[in-house]
Amino acid sequence: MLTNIKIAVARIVMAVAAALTVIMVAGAFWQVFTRYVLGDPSTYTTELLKFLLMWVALLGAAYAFSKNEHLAIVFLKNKLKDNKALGLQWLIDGLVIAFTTAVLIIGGWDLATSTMGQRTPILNIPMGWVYMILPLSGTLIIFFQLINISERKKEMEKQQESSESDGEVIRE
Amino acid sequence: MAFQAAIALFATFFVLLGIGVPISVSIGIASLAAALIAVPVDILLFTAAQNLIGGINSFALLAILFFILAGSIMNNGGIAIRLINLAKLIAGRLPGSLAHTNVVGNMLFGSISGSAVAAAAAIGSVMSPLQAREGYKRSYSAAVNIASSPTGFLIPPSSALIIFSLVSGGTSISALFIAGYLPGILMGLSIMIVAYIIAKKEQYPVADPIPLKEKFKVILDAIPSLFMIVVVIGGIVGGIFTATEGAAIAVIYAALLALAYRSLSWRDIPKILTETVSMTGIVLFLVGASSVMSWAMTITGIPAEISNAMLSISENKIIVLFMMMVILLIIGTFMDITPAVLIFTPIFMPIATQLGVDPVHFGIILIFNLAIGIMTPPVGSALFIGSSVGKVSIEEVIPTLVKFFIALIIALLLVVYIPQISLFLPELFNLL
Amino acid sequence: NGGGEETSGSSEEGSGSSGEEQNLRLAHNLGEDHPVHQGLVDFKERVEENADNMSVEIFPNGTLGSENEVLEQVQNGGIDMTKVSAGALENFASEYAVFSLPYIFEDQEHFYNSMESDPVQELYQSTEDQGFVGLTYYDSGARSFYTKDTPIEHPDDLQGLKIRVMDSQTQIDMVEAMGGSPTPMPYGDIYTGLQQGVIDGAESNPTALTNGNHGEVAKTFSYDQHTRIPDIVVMSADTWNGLSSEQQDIVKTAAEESTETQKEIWNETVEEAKTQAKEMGVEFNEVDKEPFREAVQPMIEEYSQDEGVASLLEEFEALRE
Ligand code: NA
Ligand code: NA
Repeated sequence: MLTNIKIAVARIVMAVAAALTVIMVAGAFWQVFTRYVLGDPSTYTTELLKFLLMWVALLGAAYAFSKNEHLAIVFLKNKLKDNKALGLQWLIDGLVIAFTTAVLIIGGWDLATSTMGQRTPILNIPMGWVYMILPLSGTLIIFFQLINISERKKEMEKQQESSESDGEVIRE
Repeated sequence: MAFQAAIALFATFFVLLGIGVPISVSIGIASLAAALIAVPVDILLFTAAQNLIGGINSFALLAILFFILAGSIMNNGGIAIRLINLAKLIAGRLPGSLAHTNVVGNMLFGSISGSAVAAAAAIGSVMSPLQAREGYKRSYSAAVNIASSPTGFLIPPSSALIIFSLVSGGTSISALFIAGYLPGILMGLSIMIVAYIIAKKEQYPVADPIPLKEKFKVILDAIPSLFMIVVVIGGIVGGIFTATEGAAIAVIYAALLALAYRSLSWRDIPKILTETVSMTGIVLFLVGASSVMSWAMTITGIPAEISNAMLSISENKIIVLFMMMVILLIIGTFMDITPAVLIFTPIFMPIATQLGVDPVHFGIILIFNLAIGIMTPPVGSALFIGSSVGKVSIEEVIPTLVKFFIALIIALLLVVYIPQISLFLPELFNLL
Repeated sequence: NGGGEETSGSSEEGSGSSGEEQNLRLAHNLGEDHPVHQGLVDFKERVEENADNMSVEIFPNGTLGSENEVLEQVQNGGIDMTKVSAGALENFASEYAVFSLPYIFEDQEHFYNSMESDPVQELYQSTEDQGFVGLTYYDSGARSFYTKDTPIEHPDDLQGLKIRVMDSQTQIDMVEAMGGSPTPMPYGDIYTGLQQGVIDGAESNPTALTNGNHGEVAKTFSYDQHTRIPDIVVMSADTWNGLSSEQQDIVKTAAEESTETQKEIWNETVEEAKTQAKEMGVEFNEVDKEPFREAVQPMIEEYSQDEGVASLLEEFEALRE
């Protein structure tokens, strides 16, 4: 159930980021086309593309948390067994949540709300809306991590069951 | 204060890294721990958030997303096999023909995609069964594939060089790209030499010559893929577009090519976009976290402290560069190239430039150095992928890999101590 | 190295208690040999000399962030002071756009008089609810066009040329009004952009030719002197309101006196840059400004629809001759 919700939310996140990516390719092409072919460079694309990149990057980062794809050194984790492994994994998940809360949510919200009066130089939109991706992706990361935590317990229990039964077979 | 902060930063970082916290989060938390020594908490979080997003607020970084996307399209687009055929034609008459084909294949693949892992997977998975059939030892063919996969970090386009350009304060991407060619080719050649010696000893077969008619077909087949290099790199050097725009052109070109080959269907597109967004998210989140670290280090004075410590041992350029090389080789054993570039550029770059090393040359040294790390245990993405597509265990491949490792170290020494290898081409094209 | 666990801004510590040690953190993104830094050092010395309970800690080289980032921290109270280009300030308070308009100042004298007039003092205070106030201005010179080879003697010469501009709507509108193709691009890309022909020219004061080495690739500098965009020294509103009136006086006076020092250093720096650029082979040519002035009139009128901008323009106009 939770897993299904996670997958659905992750899909939405991905759909938005993928659409923005396509827009970015088109935008960069347009920038070259207007300057090189039309001789009248588009002035808004640089700024727009930069902002879209921030959004895509942080949405992509949140998506990668939902899939446990972020680079990590898993040596110790693979060595540990059972409860110790689960304990360590929870510690890791907890640290991810703590960092996300501190920097993306608290710091990011503070940053976004205090820059609503600042306009971007060319598109003239409040800078706070650009920065709003920080608390937004922070919320997504915490949401994904919480579901990951509950999934990990179940996984571990499943593994334990199967390994216990395996063990019995060998012993007999 | 710098000393305390350095202890807080590195101790926290290595403990978190060791227990398996994602590298980006390890970097972030370690930075907070260090910055806390100099900055009150309320300012700390605001500024950390600012640096995290400020680190990715860059037009140049857009190129990374585009090159990842272009690479992903090409992986799915039937380009690899055409490049392998061409590689066979180039290197196919040497003893151990298929091994040389693999090396050249990786270099060609690397020159249109920036990813060593993608090259190792795409070229290795085709080449390793062929080599097994001709009686090559699996440990040999896998080692050749693994050792030559990072050539694409130096042969442009290269995300690693883009990231270096950014963190080094805007070293010219065009100059770095052009500078990467000769060192990248040198890297490939050093592997071919070792592959040749081993092949001679093991009496691996030389492939039959390819009939002239087929040669033409192979070349014709490969031209559209190779033409992309001309369009993208030529466009960047020729001033038609910037590196970022060139990357977008690469995406469009790769997509058109894949459509023309009918090897890309609409159904592949969601998968390609998902791969790209996810990879971009991972890399740029790392970039953002590293920019928090760079800020934390600067306000606590860590780079200056490290620089003083190193220069107090010696102010001799040759010795200091050697020390850096050893440190980076050690770092490379357990750290991936992107975070290592992000963390060590702000520390080492000022020392190097103070000693009169050209920023472009330093960038090439750094990337070459760290590229070697991706084939070493305990953490080596090329090692893992290469062993897995080569169907050989890591323990089995390592003894052979050591021979290539030594050749690469020699090549690295040449690149470090002969600046012209890196700077000749950019000077020729007037990019310095 | 940078520190300051003791006090940061100490805005929370209440107002007026002049007995407390007050350490002002001042951050900017320029190098230590830049006239702005030297002006700020002069400010620091004056404050520390005249107040026995105040100190100023300067963080140069952008160690605490880019111009915008530091201003955001000033608004938020994390940093007490910074210098910002009036061009960047227009994103925070629209009246500051006036300084980015072309040909509103006759010459350096008129520029100085205008910047020291009462309306500008009022403008400094008007951003208090944005979280910062202005203290004084620094000279940042007159900006002109420089190109690879063809001099810009008349707006017609800009026709079809791709001119790099700062990320700013006013600068885009200005180049467009004169007939060129404005191309926003990061400062760091200008050198290779010029060299490889992605752009045909850029616009700045002569120091760009030497500091950014643009003189190596751009060989003509045309004195059309379209804009004089000042740097503004700003302070966090929280910090300002936390100072006793005696401290406010000391800070304000020190700031204004440092402007005089900075102007001198600036003028010397520009002269040096010109000499050096000439040695690099750059040609400087005088141009008739009138056609340029005419070309941007419609643009000035458009921007005058903003009341704040219009009234400042009127005040500056009155100070002409
Ligand atoms: Na490459
Ligand atoms: Na490694």
